[in-house]
Amino acid sequence: MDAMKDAQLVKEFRKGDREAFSELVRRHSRPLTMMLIRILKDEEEAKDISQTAFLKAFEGLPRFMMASSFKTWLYSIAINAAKDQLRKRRPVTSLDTYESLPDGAESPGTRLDEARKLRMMREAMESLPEKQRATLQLRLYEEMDYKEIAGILGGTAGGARGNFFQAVRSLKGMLEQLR
Amino acid sequence: MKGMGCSKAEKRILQDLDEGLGGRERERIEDHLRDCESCRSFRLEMGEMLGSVAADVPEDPGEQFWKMYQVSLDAKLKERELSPGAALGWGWKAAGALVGACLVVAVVWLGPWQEPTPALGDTQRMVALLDDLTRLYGPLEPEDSYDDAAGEQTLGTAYSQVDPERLTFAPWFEVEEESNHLLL
Repeated sequence: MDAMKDAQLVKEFRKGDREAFSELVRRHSRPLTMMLIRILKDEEEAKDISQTAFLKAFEGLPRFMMASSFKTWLYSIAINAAKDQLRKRRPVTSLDTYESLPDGAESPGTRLDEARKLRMMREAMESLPEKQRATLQLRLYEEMDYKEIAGILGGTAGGARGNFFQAVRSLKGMLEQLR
Repeated sequence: MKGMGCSKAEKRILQDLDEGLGGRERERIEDHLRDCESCRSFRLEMGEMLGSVAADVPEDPGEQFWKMYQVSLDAKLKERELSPGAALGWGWKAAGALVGACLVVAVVWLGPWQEPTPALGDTQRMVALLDDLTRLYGPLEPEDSYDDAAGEQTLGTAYSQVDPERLTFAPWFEVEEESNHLLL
């Protein structure tokens, strides 16, 4: 079952093989939840949303048209739920939730400087428009291609590329202002 | 001297940092960078920034978290599987919903509490009332409302056009007075 592709597992599950779904969970639960932790900065919320995405997939797989990959579909469910969650809890909660001083052998002064930069960068990330931020995260952390990103967030691959470049430029501009 | 403008070069630099450039495009951007100080520093800054953003990953929550995740997800999945709706496939659910909808429609249309068609009932009652009134008092004064030649007027519309305030009846035969004691 390990060697099977997601699409094959989906087919097996639709034939009634429950173990095929467990394999899909094993494959995608950690990366999906880590992405949600990165977006939500709250492990419990990330866990809930990740599980809800799997439950929705479990119920929706019989109707899944396979127009996109299972991963794209699963991530789009999760990202939409995460966006709703973020909207519910605006204004943004503390950015320090998973903040820690960067490790290393540098002097305390250098480490503080690094921490300050990190904080500024997170602040700048939080200020990005929602779609740009999501595009940036999917591209940099999930290493998805633009077609996949477009499948999750909607739009075209070209539009997703444009959003990424715009996000990077905005981030640079904001960091310069914060300095 | 720049063969490529800085604005275009910045796009290519981002593309290079993101997906990489190949062949001719790479040569062109390298040519541009050789002579453009600001684009060189743009590439350096962008590379550093993207590197630090990408390196900013949250710590793994640990094995206990993942164990709990799996246990609670399994429980939730089992709960869904055991719920009565989950036992049926979506095709059966859709078929059930369709049959249910048909039943509701059938019951509403053929239900025993259906009243007779209101328009027909109203007309019949009106005709009976007019018959009674005509028997007692003769025809209504605005007789032109019965004009069949008008064609389009029905009994109902003609009746509704009559102002009840102005409605008077001319008795066309005399009614003898009855003595009350006969009724007692």
